[in-house]
Amino acid sequence: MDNNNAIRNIEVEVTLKGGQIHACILPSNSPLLHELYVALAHGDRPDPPQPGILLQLPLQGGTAAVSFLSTSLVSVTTKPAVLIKPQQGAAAGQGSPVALKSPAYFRIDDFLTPDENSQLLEYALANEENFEGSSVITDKQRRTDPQFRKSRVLFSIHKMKWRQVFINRIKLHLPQIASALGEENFQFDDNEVQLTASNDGDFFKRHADSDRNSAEVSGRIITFVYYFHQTPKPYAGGDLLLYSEDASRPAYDSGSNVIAIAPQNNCLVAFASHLLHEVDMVRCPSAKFADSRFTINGWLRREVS
Amino acid sequence: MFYTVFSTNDSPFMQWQSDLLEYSWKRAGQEGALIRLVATDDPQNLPTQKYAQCVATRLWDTHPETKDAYPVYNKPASLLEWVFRDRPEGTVLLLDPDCVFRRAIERRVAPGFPASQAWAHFSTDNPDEDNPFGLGERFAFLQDHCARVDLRIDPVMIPTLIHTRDLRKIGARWLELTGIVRENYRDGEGNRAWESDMFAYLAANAEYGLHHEPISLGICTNWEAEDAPDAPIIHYCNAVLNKDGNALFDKHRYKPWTRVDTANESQHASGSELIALLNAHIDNLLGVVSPAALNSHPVWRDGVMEGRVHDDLLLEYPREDKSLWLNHSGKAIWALCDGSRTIGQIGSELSAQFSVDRDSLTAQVQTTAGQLHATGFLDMR
Repeated sequence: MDNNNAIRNIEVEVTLKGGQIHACILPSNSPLLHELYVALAHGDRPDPPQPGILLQLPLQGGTAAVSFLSTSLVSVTTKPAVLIKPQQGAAAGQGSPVALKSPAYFRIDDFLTPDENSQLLEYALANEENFEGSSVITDKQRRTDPQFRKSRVLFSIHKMKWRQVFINRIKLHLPQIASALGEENFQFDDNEVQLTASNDGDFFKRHADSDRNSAEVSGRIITFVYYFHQTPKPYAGGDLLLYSEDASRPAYDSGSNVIAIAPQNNCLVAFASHLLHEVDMVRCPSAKFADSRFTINGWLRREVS
Repeated sequence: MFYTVFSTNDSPFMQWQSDLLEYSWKRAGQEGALIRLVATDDPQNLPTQKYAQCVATRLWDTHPETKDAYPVYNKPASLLEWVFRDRPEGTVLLLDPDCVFRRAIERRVAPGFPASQAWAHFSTDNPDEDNPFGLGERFAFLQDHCARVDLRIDPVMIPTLIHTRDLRKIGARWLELTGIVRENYRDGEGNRAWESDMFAYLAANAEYGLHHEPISLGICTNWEAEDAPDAPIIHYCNAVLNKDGNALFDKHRYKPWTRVDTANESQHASGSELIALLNAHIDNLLGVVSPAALNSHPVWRDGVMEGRVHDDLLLEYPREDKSLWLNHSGKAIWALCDGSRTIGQIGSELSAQFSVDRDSLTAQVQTTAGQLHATGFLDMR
């Protein structure tokens, strides 16, 4: 990766209607940075009136935040310059322009139809007794490690129609997903899909889903997580924390190189399998299985011909 | 933002249709962006348009799993790629390449509230388990592919006004169901349905709880005027026939850019308008202004402003930043172009008024009205 492509920290200053100015630091691949430019590009659309999108800017190293509607954004000032289209021949260096990078994940709202979404939840609830304790692979062995991962998994989805529903649907999205994540479009081997239930106190510590030293997971290219649950959401937490590609940087120092993605019913999130990520602890006051944070999670492997 | 969007490949057949649509879009003064989606395996050599933005998308002529060759797959596939990759935000006017504008469309839609042309002469029954989406028992196979089939579909078709957020919602399911309908549906003669994408579109919308308001948006060239009164779009999916039932214009046989003979009247007014538009585009391309037909009804175009300076008349069309001075005789012709008279009637009326030979004055009216039509100040009915 050359300097132009490297992820860099960007000093960002946003001006809102009324003249308020807020400043923070964001990595050049931050989805928020991307969303700021999208909001600027779309501007006010009075016909028909658009509600705008809620944006949140982390302040004071992530200990505070300012929230505002995308429609109230007036300008974005950055240092170094962030260019929507990279300029040919631009010199690399500390003060040189940075190309706006793709977000580190791809999100699809309303992934299933509403009836599919509710039937999938019914299916999960009807199969409560078939869920097993989750495992992790370490030293080429699959084992249970409640200090590292705590949740329950339904492996038998492999035999059910839901596996095919997901595979069929995600195949249609794959070109867009691969392109957005900087991967070439590829044919995938579809045998890795599982249903996970996370309840009170469950979590999954920081890890990557692909490991070049493990034959079992080395071929994973893209990880996807589909969220479903009762509405209104009967639990808190369970955010997917996605780390920047530069894993050598400290994780929580400024909040600038970790993205938190809150679970949203009927939403699918995809990201490169080699990225470090974790699942924040779930808090489910009722502790009922039906109130769990449910996910269909899977991995797209490059098909070996 | 308002997007007029149509899906094509990079064939010559699609090129002339795209050019004609683009000409009508500009002439109508349609606000927003014109997006030509081009499904191609050669994105480095995209076709070019004067005003439309050509957007390369992956070629989806053939279903990757079933190998079914059906170029219409490109429509949902290209739209899916565009809405997720380019992230447009706003109202999409979804057209087929064989559509042209009569006039600009002002209407915008909010998320969750699409509106479409009602599908004339197409109806559905009450849906239930044996009659998925009310489409009939030939669609019983949908039970195996849909979580629910007792959902009501809206009998609507292209053109459609839909918000980009709704397109993002239904896009993948629309494409998936198109493949399922192509694979499983057979008509009475055992054929797959050419309209599979439309059935799939209606079912996908029903599954997502999106209901289309049926409006008069686009008239097909084989429809009666009352099927889509005053629709702003003409859809020439069928041949334009004369009163004897012979084809005056058929997109499958048309060789661009040959003028279409207007001596025979079309069965439907929309057909005559389409041919007039096509001929005007050709004249525009060739720099020739053709005389207006004697039986056409010239009418002032909406949005044209009049200004009088001494004895002359200044016409202005602010949407396209155009203006034109009319002299004394031009002003007299213009005054009678209220849509109630034919060119021939205007000639007769003026010849009586000014005591001038009827034939020579009528020829002057034909020329002047033709110029005003070609420059976009007059519409022809």
